[in-house]
Amino acid sequence: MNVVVVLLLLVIAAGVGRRLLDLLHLPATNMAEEGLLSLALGFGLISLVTFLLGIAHGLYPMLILAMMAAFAVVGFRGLVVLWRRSQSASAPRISWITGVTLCIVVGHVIANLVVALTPPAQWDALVYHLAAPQTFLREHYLIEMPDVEQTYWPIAIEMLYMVLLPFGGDTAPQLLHLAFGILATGSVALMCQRLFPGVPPGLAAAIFIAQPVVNKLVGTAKIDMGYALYAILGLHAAVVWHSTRNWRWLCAAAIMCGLAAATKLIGVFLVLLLLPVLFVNQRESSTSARWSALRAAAVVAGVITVIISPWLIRSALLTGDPVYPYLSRFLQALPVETARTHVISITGLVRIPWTLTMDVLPSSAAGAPLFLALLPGLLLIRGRDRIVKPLLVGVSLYIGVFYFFSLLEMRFLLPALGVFSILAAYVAIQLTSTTWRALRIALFVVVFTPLAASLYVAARRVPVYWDVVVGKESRDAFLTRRVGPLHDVLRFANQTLPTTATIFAGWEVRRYYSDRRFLSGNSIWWINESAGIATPQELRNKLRALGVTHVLLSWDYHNTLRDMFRAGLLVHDPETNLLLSPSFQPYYRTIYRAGPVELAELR
Amino acid sequence: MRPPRHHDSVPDQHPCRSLNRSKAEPRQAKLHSEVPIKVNSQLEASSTVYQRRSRTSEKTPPFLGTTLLIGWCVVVYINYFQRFETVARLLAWIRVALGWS
Repeated sequence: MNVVVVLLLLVIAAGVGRRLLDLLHLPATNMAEEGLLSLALGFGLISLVTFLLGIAHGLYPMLILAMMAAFAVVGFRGLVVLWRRSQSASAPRISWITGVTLCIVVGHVIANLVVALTPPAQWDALVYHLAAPQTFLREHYLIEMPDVEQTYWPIAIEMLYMVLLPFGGDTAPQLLHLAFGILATGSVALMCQRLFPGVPPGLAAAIFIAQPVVNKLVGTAKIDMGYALYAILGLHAAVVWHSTRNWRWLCAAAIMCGLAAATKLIGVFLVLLLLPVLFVNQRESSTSARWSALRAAAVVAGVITVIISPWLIRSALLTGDPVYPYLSRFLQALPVETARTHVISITGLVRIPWTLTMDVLPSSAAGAPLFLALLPGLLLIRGRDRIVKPLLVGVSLYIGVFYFFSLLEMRFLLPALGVFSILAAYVAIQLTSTTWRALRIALFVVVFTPLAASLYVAARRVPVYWDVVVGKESRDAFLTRRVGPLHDVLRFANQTLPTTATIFAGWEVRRYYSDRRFLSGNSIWWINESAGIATPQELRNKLRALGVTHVLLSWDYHNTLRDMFRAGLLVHDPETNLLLSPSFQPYYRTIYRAGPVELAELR
Repeated sequence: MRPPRHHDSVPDQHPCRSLNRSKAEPRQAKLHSEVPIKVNSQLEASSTVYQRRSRTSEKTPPFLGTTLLIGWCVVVYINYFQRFETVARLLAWIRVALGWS
């Protein structure tokens, strides 16, 4: 059923998006380009209307169904057009290299399909990607969730998850995220075909999907693959604009980047990736080229701002900060909890390619070694295409910003990885044109070793998930195995606590499996709320005032934070958390314990 | 027999046949003849600009440079794949066999 629901959403999005493509008069040159742009536009429109429905207190399953039915009617003509196009398109000739790379892509998709069919257990999904839509659906509108600051950010993909949850269950969002991953991989192939017609697009696609970070995330209910899809399509449209100077393509690039920013706030930095492409002009004189580039940059910035404005306005109305908490941090000196993964230095900046491949956080995923291995190969290719340079500059700017201002996590760098995949495929194919057979064979080994290794890693994960997919393992047993003792405690709370109970969790943030009202103490909201609290008595009174009846104490998470603080990665000392201090013990009575997690009644 | 051309150094059996100019042109022409919907002629022309530039830029990479690059790839892969238990064990075994440990 969940697969059917996701397929229906894809079909409706494609139909509606195709109608939007007509409105934009975007001259797509082939079926793949038309299909991918239609889907991306369709998803963007559905998420925007769902957002408006949420603002208007209309989040009822019947209303969502009616909305989707209306989209289906509107998009029917678009679907018919797409169907006719697909019938008239002939199948391309497939070389052996395309065949092999297609097998690699399909292998990754099958392995991750098994992961996507299991109950969600990924951290961020349980914190807000699924928890926020679930809470919104329960309250029938976009209720403010002050203890989950991520819900103030643009969360367009979560709006699509909200459409799926009532009809397809909680594996449907994971399947949609997998679909986003497949479409993003297709976008990489599409952009490769446009940039380097001599390079098999399947190779770039295989390099992209074989990224450890893609492999790790694509089957979970996160939103990063949606971000990657919009960003790569935006870059593709910018590249087409670069060669055609057709302003409709520039608008398409800006719309896609706007949708990426509405998916993930960091999407605004995509402008950095686009700027070098916009400013390199191949035809016009220098003065007119500069003006043209400036106009282009203004159009891109304007369209991005318009597309994310509903989200920014919502955040500004609720918190006074359109990009909460980032502006508040400067204006009100909020005690924002920050974690850093790296120490900033010039040598660190130079070492980024090595660091991203070899030394990443255990919670993150490394880059594929293929980029690090092959990128020096660009120096060996004489007379490189002119577009390569601005792309490399754009990618460097984008990664540089993340080095200085953010966590250096690979998932934030997915758009850059899309470009790298294309460049790596380009370098590989150019180098394998060498006349020396031994070198050619060695280069093929270099290219296919990480792809094969990634497929092996993906296949190795299947047995971990297989039993629950085929029903040999129960959902609860699987979740206890994947989420840990927290799942047992929340299950106990769901079965025994009254429906009016409110649970306050000292550090815990993973609320998705709680059917009771859940407040997290690991948030900026709580840091502010608890700022003046000095005694356990005051803490108890504060919790009572918030309607809290039970507290959830997660000692393993507390210990993790304590270790992070000692390593200099946290601003606030977790030991100052009164809730977990011995002095607060007289104010609660433990009613259930599973490992290091306990549920207690507030006295 | 047709006269030899300088780009014929790229062998015909190369998996990416479009790199071979003698094969590439008919294939690209076929690709463009398959365009199923309204085609922007400016767009098509620009796409050809990329193709032409791409082809004119292709020269055989230097032997020494390519060999050094493969050496670099081996260094990167050894460092990277050490995270796989099997590879780490194999490398340890090689170190012992060579008397490096």
